[in-house]
Amino acid sequence: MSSPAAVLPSFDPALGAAVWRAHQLGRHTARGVPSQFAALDAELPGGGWPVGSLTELLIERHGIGELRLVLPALAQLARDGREVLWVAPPFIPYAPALQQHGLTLDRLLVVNAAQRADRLWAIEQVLKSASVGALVAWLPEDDGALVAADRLRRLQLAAQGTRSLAFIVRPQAVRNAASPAPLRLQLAPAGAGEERLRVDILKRRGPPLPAPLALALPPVVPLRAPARATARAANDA
Amino acid sequence: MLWIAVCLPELPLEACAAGDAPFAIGDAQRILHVNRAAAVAGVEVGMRRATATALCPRLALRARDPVTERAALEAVARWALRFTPNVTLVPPPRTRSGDALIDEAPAGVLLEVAASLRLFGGPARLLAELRRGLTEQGHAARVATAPVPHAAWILARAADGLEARSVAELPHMLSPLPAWLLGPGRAHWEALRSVGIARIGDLLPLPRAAVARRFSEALLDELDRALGKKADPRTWFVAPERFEARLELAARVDGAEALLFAARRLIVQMSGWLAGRCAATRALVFSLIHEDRAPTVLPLRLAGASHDDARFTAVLREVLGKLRLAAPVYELRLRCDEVIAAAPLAGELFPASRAGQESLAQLIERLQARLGRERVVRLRPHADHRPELAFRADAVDMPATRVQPMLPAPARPLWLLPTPVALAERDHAPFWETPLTLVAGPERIESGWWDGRWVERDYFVARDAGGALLWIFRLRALDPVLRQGWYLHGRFA
Repeated sequence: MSSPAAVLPSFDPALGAAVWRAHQLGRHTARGVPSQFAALDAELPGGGWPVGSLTELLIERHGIGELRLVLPALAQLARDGREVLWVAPPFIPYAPALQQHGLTLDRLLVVNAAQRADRLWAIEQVLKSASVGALVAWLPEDDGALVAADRLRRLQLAAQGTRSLAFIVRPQAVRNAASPAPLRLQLAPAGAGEERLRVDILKRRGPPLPAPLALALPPVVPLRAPARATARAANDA
Repeated sequence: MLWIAVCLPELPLEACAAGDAPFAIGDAQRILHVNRAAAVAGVEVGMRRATATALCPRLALRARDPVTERAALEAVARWALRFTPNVTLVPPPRTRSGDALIDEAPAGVLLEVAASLRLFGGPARLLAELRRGLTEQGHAARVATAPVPHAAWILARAADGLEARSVAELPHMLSPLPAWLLGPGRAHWEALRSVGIARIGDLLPLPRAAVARRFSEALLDELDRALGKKADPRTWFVAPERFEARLELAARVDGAEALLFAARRLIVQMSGWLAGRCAATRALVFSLIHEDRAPTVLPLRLAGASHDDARFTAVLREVLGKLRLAAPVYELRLRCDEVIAAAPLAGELFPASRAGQESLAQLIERLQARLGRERVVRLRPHADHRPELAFRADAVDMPATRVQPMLPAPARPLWLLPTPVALAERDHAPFWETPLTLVAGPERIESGWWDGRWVERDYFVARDAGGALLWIFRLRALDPVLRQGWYLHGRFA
């Protein structure tokens, strides 16, 4: 019995990069935008956040560090003069903090869309427009009714062929639902008292990742010990 | 000199947008013009009114309206200004106001385009563009070219597509045409016929003095002008300073989508008018006139000034798409007040750099048209110590206000809650789903005594049991709105 490699006809070398073997990290994807987390870049096909395809970020709740994960890449794009669009953020993106993280506010556009249909429409319009550097969109309604996979597929098709990053932030509950996004990450805090984020790559063009990554997030504060803060607060009361 | 004559034989019909409903124009006895739907129903030009209404009971039959026709003709002239500044109306404007005289002869416009040929890439391309635009506005036109205006006009009245290239060709081209195409020839038609003169060519060999005596000087004069033997000065059409146009819909329209087609005619007119003035606009107002209620007013805004009809149409499509009409519409009006001079769009060596910018502006327009202007915002820092006032979110097309420096501040959360959320307190510590431990702080913010939004708070960075960082504060003094205690104001995300 011959080995599988011998049975398979060897690929025409001209096909080269167009063929992705399932045991390898996809290399045929266009070079990604570095996420500026070396450990993550090493595991992402294309060496960074993929360009021209959807990236799903699944979070348990807001505020666990999901923005700090994507901001370094967004800030770099904005510095290169590309537009960054946020569609339907769940809270007010706070301008002073964004500046502290190096994002040029002149390059950030925030689109507020309350209706679910409007939101999906806006995301699609943004993806279709070739003029955008990166999109971050929140799809919170998932916990009520699932966004149908065919709507997501439309978004993925719209993203294809563009040069933009497309992040879709969805709740963790949709983890097991089918999704056409080629890259899906689940994010969780690494544990109490740590400025680290646990990143689980649920799906990528490549072999599954055995263990989640733990990324050190950029610190939010020049942390000052609240030595007497609690005592003072108690006194004030 | 190269003159293009645009003859609009069906203008009385086209002045109203009838859509698919059968529609005809008639005088007291006869039908003068029919649209396609009426023709399908069997109505013909020259038929008696009674016959026509019997054949097609749904037929909307109207008399000619000189005011509407005049407005429609001027609309064409205004649009034609995009090709050349030298546009003249046929018939020329009457001096007496309120003149209800209606010409039997069709109306049209003449364009002198010799100076524009290079810009538009030659006469063939210019003509193609002209025809495309006329069709888009719903006009069936006969177009002819000649080196002198009157010859071009006579050719256009005779047939579509005639082209006389030089003055020497004119006698040859005009000869086979009927003599009544000359204005005074119509008055003498019977007399001309009785002496055997049916065509313009028959007039040419006759002795001039005899023609002048037996018919009129005017006939001779017109013949000379048509053949280019005599100067033929024209007064140029001058476009109004403001754009205002209306379009009557012969059939009541109650579907918003169906309005788009009619509205596009007005948009094409306006973009021609803007191009002719080297101007652009970023705001225009559509009014939908209903029978017995206040008009629906639809303001359109673009992210950047433009005179491109496709961009206005794209925005209008979104606006109309979400519109619910309260009543049928019978008239459309378009007004454009905010006109700004625009640099004429020159051909670029590397047009790609501009294309990216353009399409971002178009994306913003589409989003604003559907979601609302104030839903697409840019954030700007604002010099204020109070967290909720330290930024501004302005609609993206607002002119940038003076950029204020950001006040130096310690850590700020990436998410700010629209209103602070009160936290419970357990064992003298704030509690939000899990007990919170304070990581940093306090940062005291006391400000705003001058405008009644007084803030006196101690801010802390807190961590919950799950590891998420929160921005919380504790009220220091009695607050007019908030109760004493701990509040959650942001998440570090």
